[in-house]
Amino acid sequence: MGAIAAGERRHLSTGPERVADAALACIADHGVRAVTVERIAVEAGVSRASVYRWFPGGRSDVLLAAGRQELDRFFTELEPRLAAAETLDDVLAEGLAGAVRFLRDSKPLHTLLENEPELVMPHLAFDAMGTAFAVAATLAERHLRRFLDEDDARRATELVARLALSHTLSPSADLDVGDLDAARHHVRRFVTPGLVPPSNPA
Amino acid sequence: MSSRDQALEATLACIAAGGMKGFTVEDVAQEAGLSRATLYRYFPGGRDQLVGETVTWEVGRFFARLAGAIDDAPDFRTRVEWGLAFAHRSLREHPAFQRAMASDQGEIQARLAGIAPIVVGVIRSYLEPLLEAETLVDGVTPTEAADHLARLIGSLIVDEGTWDLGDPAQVKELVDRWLLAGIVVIDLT
Repeated sequence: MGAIAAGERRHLSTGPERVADAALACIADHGVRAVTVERIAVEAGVSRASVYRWFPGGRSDVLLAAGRQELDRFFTELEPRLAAAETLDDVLAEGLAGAVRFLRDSKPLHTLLENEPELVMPHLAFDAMGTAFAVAATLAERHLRRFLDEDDARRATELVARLALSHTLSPSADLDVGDLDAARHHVRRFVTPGLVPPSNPA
Repeated sequence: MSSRDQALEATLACIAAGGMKGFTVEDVAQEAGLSRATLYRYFPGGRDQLVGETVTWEVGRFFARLAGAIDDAPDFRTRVEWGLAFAHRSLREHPAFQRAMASDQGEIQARLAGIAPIVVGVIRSYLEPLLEAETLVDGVTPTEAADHLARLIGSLIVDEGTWDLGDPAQVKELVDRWLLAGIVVIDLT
C-alpha cells in the first residue's frame, strides 16, 4: 500500500474508493446521519446507480467501506512502527497503543461505533466475520513471526485486539493503554510472560 | 417474581422465540400476563428500553449462575478454567442468546458492547477478592490483575474468536499461558 498522500490518492483512486473517501469526509464534516447515497454520489462525482452497483447494500455498505478505508489508514500508519520495533514487547505495545489511540482519535470510526453499532460491531468481532481483526492479524503476524510461531502470533494479536477493543468500550480511569510507555509496561507484565519462558529472556 | 421481573423474563422468552426484533410490547404483555399499561408504566421508553433492560438483567443473572457453578473450585486457576468452560456450555444452550446471535447478531453485539463497562465491573468485583488471597507475581496488584482479567474474560465469553472454550486443552493453554502467566505464581513442573 505505501504511504500515499491523500491528494495523490484521489488521482489514483477508483470509483469505490472515491465513494468511501466522500463518505469519510461527510462523516467528518456533518456526522454519520448526514450520509445518504444521494449525497455521497454527488460528492464523489458518480451516479447513484454506480454507487448501488459497487455497494449493493446501499448506505450500510457505503458506511462499512468508509470504516474499512479508515482502518486501512490506521494499518498503513502502524506498519512502519511495527517494523521498527525491536522486541516482542515493543511490537505488541505499538499495536495496542496505536489501536486504542486510533479508535479514540478517529472521528469517523468513533462516530460509526456510536451511531451505527449494530452495523459496525460484527466487523469488529474475532470470529470469521470480523474483517477488522482479520486485517489486523495479517499485518501483525508478519511482524510477530520474528519472535513467535504462527499460532502464538495469531493468538497474541487476538489478545491485544481484545484489550484494545475493551479499553475503547470501557475506558479505564487508572490505565491509559493509548500511551506507548503504559502499553509497553502492561504488555510486558500481562501479555508476554507466558510466551517467553523465564530461562530465555527476549 | 415481581411484575417487572415477569416482564423481563417474558421478553427473554419472546427473544428466544422470535429474535430481538420479532415481537411487540403487546406480545411481551401477553407472555407475562400483564397489561400493556403496566408494561409502559415500568418501561416508558417502550420496546427499546424493555429489550435493553432485559439484556442487562439476564447478563447479571448469567454471571450469578456462573459464580455459583465455580464456587467450590479447588484453586484460582481451576476456578478460571471452570468459569470459561461453564460460560461456553451455558451460552451454547442459552435460547435467547443463540437466537439473537443467529438472527440479530449486530444488535445483540451492540447492546453487549453498550454494557461492556458493567460486564467488566461485575467480573472485576468477583475476581479482586480472590486475587487478594493469591500469591501474585512480584509487582502485580490484585486491582490491576482483576481489571486485566475481567476485560479478557468478558471479551472471550461473548466472542470466542479463534479459541474453542469447549476444548479443555485449549482452555488450559488459554488460562496458563495467556491469562494467568504474568499474574499468579504457577508451578509449571
